[in-house]
Amino acid sequence: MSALIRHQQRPVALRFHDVFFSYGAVDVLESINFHFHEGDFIVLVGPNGAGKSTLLKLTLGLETPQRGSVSVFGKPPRDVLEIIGYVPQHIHYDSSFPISVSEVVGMGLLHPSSRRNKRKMQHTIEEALAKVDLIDLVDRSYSALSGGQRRRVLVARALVSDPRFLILDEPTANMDVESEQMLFKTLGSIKGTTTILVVTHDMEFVSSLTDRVLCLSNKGNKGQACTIVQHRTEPAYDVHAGFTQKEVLKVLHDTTLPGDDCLAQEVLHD
Amino acid sequence: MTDFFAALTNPSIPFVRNALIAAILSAILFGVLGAIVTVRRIAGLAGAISHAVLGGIGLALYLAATGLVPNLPPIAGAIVFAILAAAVIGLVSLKAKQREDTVINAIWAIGMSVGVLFMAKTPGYTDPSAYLFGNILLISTRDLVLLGILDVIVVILAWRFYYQIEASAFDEEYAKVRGIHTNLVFFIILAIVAIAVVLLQTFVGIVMVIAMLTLPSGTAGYTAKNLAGMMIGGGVYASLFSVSGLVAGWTFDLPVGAMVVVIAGAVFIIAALIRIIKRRNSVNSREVSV
Repeated sequence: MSALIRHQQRPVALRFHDVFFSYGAVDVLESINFHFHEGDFIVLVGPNGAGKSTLLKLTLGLETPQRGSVSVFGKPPRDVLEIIGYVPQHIHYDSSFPISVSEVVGMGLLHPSSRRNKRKMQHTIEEALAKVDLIDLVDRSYSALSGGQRRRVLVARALVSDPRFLILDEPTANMDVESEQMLFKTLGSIKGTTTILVVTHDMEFVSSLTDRVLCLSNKGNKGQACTIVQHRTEPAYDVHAGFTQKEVLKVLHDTTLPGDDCLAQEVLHD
Repeated sequence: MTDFFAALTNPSIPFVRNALIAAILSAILFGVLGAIVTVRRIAGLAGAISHAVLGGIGLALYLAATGLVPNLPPIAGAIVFAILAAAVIGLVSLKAKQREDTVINAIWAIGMSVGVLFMAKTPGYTDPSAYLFGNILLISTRDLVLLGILDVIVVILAWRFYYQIEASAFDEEYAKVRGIHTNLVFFIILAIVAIAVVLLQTFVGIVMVIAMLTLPSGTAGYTAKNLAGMMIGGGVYASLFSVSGLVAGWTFDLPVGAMVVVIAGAVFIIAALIRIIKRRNSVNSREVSV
């Protein structure tokens, strides 16, 4: 139980309280209640179109809920953006945009109005690129990279500011196996010290790094909007553990844990 | 060509010297703003603003000639219409993306038509083509001062907010997550482009401002490693195109604005062809080595 108490004492990293959101007449999210603590590794799953990206936009302060509240470390998201690292699912990238890998990663150190000192930042940028094993490509043009390498650069961009809270949207989409393994190795190295939220449409399996699984599903009052359901997970012994050498978790979609409860899963795992 | 340089040093014809200074000052704006317009892909928006300007010029000419607002300079009407067009286009671009092209093209066409109608009703003869195609040889010292001031403002803003401009253009959502007010950046860019268009149209004319905002930076974009390189390269290309167009126009007695754009277009196309051939060769050599 001491582990549970320690977990409870950690500050709440993200809290959704009775959140409702719609795009015009189209209800997207309703009765969203969940929270998790600093240091947790959370995976949010759900089918395409369930509202995962909308939930992320609310977390990042890019959208505001029509009802309820969203808080990151107890504050509105827009007030704590500097502690958040974000890896988007994709960027509307113009391949003719002239920009180097170093400059893309440097965006992670950007402040709203001040000019940054390029020389001082260079060392930090190279450290971030080393974490994703792309240090050799620091001066390469971003458009000259493969799809998997570009995604790793975006991960380095999110890590460069040493964020307290890291959010990754479909991080393994269009990634080659090597890049995927490198990503999980990187996430494994910061697990526990950095709060991590991964959003994925992969409903079946969740990495061995995961502490809890949140699922967006069609269980709203009107049957249109999605709400959060917490499922149990169990080790999937029939699946090869891969490079982590740890058990892979399987989400049990026929079981549901109580609403806004961050302890239920911990009890099960103890 | 020697005629041009003789005219340049002739104190009795200062307008040639003014034209050369205008070409260099304009090149700075074409380089910096052109690179931003190109990477943000808002050349269409800048085109609509520049054409809507004709409405303001026509209105100002009408008000001044009919005595309703005596001595109203055309540039005053142009600035008002440019800022209004930029505000409407900016709002539509942000709020109603599905109707964006319709509204932008409507502003483009309505602005020009309003200008032509006012000019038709303006007492005396007014030739719209003078504003559409410009005449660098008519540039006054006041125009040069205004261009110089705008150059200084644009260069300072571009240096000070370079990383914010770069991030907003490259990945707008991420820039927002870093706390950058991307909509404000967008509106400031549109407003400055609108004012620049008004000043630059005196040089190459309304129709050709867009060509000069896109061709030099587009040519520079083939070799630039980053946005700053594109800005500087675009400025260098723009000054080369402008000065050579000015010399050629003077030497062969041809409209300078059109000459500048033809040279810019020719170099852009040649650069594009060289790039295509180089890419093909590199693909072929890779296949051979495989």
